[in-house]
Amino acid sequence: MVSFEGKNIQKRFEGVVALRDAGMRFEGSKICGLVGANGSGKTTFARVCCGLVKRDSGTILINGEEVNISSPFDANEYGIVLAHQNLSLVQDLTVWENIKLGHERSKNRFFLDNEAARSDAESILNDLVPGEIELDTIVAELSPAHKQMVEIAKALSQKPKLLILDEPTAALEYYHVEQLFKRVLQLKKQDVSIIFISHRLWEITRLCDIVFVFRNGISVGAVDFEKTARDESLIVPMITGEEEHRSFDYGRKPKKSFRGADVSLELSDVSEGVKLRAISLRAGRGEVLGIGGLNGQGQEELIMTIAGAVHIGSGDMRVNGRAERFKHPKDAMKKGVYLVPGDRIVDGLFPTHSVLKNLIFPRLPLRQERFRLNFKRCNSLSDDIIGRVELVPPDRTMPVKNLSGGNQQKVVFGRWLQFSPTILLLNDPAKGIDIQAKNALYALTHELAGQGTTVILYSSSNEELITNCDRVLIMFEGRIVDEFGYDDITEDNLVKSSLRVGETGER
Amino acid sequence: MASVQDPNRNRMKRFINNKVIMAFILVVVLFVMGQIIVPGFSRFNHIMSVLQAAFFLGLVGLGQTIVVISGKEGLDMSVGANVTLGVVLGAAIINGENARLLPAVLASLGGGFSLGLVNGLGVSLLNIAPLIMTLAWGIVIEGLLLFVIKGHMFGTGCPALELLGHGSLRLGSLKVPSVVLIWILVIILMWYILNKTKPGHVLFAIGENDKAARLLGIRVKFVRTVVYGISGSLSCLSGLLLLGFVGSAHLNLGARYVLPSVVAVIIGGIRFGGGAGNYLGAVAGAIFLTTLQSILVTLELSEGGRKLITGIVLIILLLAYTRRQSR
Amino acid sequence: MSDKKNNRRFVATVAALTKKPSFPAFLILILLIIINAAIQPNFFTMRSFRSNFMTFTPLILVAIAQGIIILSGSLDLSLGSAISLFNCFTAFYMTDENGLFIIVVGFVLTVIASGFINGICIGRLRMPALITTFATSAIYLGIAMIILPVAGGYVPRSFYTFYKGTALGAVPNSFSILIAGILIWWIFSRTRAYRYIYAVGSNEDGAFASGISTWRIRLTAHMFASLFIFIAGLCVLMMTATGEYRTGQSYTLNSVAAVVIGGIALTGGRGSIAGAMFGALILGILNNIIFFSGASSYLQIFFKGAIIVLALCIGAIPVLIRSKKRLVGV
Repeated sequence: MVSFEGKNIQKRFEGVVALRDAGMRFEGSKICGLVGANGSGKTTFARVCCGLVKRDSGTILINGEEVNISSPFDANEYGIVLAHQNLSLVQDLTVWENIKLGHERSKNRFFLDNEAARSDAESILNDLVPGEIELDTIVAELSPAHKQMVEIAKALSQKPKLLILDEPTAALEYYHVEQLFKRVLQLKKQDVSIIFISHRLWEITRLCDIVFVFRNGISVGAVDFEKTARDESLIVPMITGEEEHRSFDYGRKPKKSFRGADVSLELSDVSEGVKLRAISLRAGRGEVLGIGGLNGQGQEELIMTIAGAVHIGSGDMRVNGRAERFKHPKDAMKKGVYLVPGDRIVDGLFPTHSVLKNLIFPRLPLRQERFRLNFKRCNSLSDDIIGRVELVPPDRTMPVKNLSGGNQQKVVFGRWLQFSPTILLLNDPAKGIDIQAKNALYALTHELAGQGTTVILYSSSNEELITNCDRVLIMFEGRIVDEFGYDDITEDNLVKSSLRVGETGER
Repeated sequence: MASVQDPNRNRMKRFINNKVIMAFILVVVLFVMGQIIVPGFSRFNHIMSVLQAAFFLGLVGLGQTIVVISGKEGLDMSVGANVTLGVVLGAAIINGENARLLPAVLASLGGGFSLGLVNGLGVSLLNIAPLIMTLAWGIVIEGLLLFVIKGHMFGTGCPALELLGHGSLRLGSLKVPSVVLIWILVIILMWYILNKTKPGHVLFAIGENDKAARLLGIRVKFVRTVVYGISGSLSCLSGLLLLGFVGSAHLNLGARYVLPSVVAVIIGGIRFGGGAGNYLGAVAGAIFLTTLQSILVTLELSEGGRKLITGIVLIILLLAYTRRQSR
Repeated sequence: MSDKKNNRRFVATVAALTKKPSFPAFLILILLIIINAAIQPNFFTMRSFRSNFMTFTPLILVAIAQGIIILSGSLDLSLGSAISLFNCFTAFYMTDENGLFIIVVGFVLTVIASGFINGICIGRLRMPALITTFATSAIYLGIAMIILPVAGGYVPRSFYTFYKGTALGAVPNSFSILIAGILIWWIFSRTRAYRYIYAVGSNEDGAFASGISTWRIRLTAHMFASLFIFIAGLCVLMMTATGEYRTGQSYTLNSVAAVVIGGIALTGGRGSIAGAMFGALILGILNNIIFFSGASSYLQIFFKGAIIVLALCIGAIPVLIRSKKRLVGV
């Protein structure tokens, strides 16, 4: 590929803008890094380039000519191949069948030439991970690291001219990463360009020739390592946007001491498979405890475990001093533990039902609610909540699917205002909603905290953690790796801790 | 986002989109056609007798309605077997004595419920697709029934049952069948339960989004299992009342209710994926199908022809109402 | 020296075979054959082999059809009715002269109805497989009932004698038909489309991301399966020598049970057609056992239904075990 350019790419999904003005440009065979915070649009951009997702507008130029990529097949024609994060492997087929999937070898028009395909796959795999993976193993039986390598091998077997690697190293062992880097450098020599998406800045600075930075769906700049030093600190400010004016009008919550406060929630050595490893934490009455870190490090699993939605593998949990083992969210709700789930459409709302119904459904399992629903009380309760969350429009008969994202989230959150939660779990509550709704929600959160509710807040936005928390824990790969007290909760600290800046990658 | 539109246009759109109203309009159209084909078809008393026949489908359709609303593409294909069970059980217990009516009712409700629970367990606990689970279990029930009665029925109904199933209230020259009155009661009761009570709302909640319902503390598996039990008891009861309607019965009586009950529910606009629906729609559907059947019989269409038409109606409805998201 | 290596390789191959999803079905089959042989004294005679395969062959063929459909992530409840349709159509129109012609027409009819219509609805129009095929089942059965409301029609005597007969000494013709069917399947299993069927059934999104046209593969699966429905329908015609709309009915659920017993996952993408064949044989042998046990015919019907339910429950267990690992179960 002589040159590749993506210009002004825009993509919107069901009300959420993933890409606003994204693009990149490079010439010759280069290893390009693509970095950005959670939700910056990196993966969406990759999927647009390889035809899995159709862009709303913008252009893609290959060697100066505009191309139209609207399916994986088209992208393949141009030599653009994406190595997914485990999306495209067929679990029930073998390793070699997966590597050659979509472009098998055939003897003649109808029959497959399995020997040739298998030896193709063998050579590709051996270039990548010599001698480690058995070709005939069913993919479902592989470890996550091996699955990732097979995924990469599959991409390589399509002889790409532009190879996009989306977070390839997250699942890999250290020495796999070395093997991958070796192969990538080989590819560069063979005139293949690579786009390397990763959170791990130490890998980016080691491997890439140039790094593109996305933020909020916009490409905000690039760092060319052929011209400057390979320094992480050149990249970090572009990721966080420190120079930019903060878009919230909400001051930071005042410092409060929790020494001597009652401990309302305590976890000791809680583990669940590979997702949670030996989590221990404590939170006091009225405290807002933040959980941060990159996406997918176990924060959601932690929240769901406390909420009773997921079984605790091992370890202890105490609510208000009493040992608890929730087997069903109903058990958690009985003890005053309430959850605002992460995906409001999938886990939180009843889309075609009215605001009223969505607000009062939590009353259904309650004993004190009679067989015949007291609609007068329900109506006044919901009107009350609608007022407190400032729902727009304040109409309790409206089906919630017609509300904007922010207002939908107000409904999901507002449910719990009719109770006095002991512990309120917030699973990324302000993700993808507008400023007004976000402010309203956090205002209510602090009201509840003031009344003694312990709030456990997981947010993918560092800004929210800084503004709203008394303490912040950072999670990485299932563990709590850092704890920041009120005075230490700064953008810098949070970002560096999340990205494990200063780590060499060895463990 | 609510948009500012001509209020009249909005109301018109909602009117057309309201599937219950559409279903009733279809019924009216059918009666008009019936009147054209067979003069006297739409006399009051004849309409009443069509409604009388439709009641049994309507009662089975009630079970089907709550099963469909409960979500996960819920369906109960064992309704036919349960109806047959009701007939057989009723005849065996009552055997001509009025006093035995109540025990028969209780037995059919209880028996149907327990059998329905098996469906519920398979669907909720083992995650077996409802259509397949209920289809298979229905065959088991039928087989068991056949074995137990060894091919011939014994026992009969009783006068009280006949009054219930077949009798009517006379107002001058008008005959209002007792089952129609029962049906009206059932419709009102259903409306109340579904819209005004806890169980009704729980049903809609688990049908609409069972993940969210679970996170709100609702015991989804338990509720779903019970729902299938209720469907079983309703179809069994329908069978019992059918005994009163028909007088005696043969063994294939129940099977002809299965497909129509599903079609009735879909005609009535009850969402196939669950979470929404109005029993009144299924009522309209049951009436529609019974009337259609009546017309087709008058046109001397064979059983095969009627099955064919019913299947085609279902396909058209499926095309209109249930396609999955395209890429 | 090389003996030891050969031994080890042999053991390894056998070990690998036991891990296949169709292995439990194979074991059960062996067990049932033993029981059947015990109850039925003349089990191992050529005569009993011949009469067994007259009834086994259609079911095995339908199981193959259902297996391919289920592997592709779909399901078809109209297979039995399609057989009924073929059966009634051919028996009704057939005379001594036009036998072949009617069979060809019947073939086209079956492929269009069972293969094309179902395949387009489910694959291209993305209608839900279960209830759509339930509806088409009613349509096909209805047409069959219209053509022949009561058993009747005409099947040339040669058909029946052929099916009952043998060739090359003692090989039953019904068995040869089965072998032909298996051969056809074997050839198909060497094609690209066959592997894509597994891919689409296992991970439709992943298959799409790999450049596969998922609706075309689904359509292919249904149409290929309809070929087997045709052959099965032909066998049923030859076996019963009559047109009767009721004959096809039991094949539907039996084929689902056979597939499940054989280790094919109802969700698609996993298992092998060999398993479906074992499953069908198991059902056939079970029928024999129930028959020879002397139970009344009504109890037999009950048992047959109960077996299907049992098969479904057993089939649900591996799915259950896997779903326990998921985050928010219901």
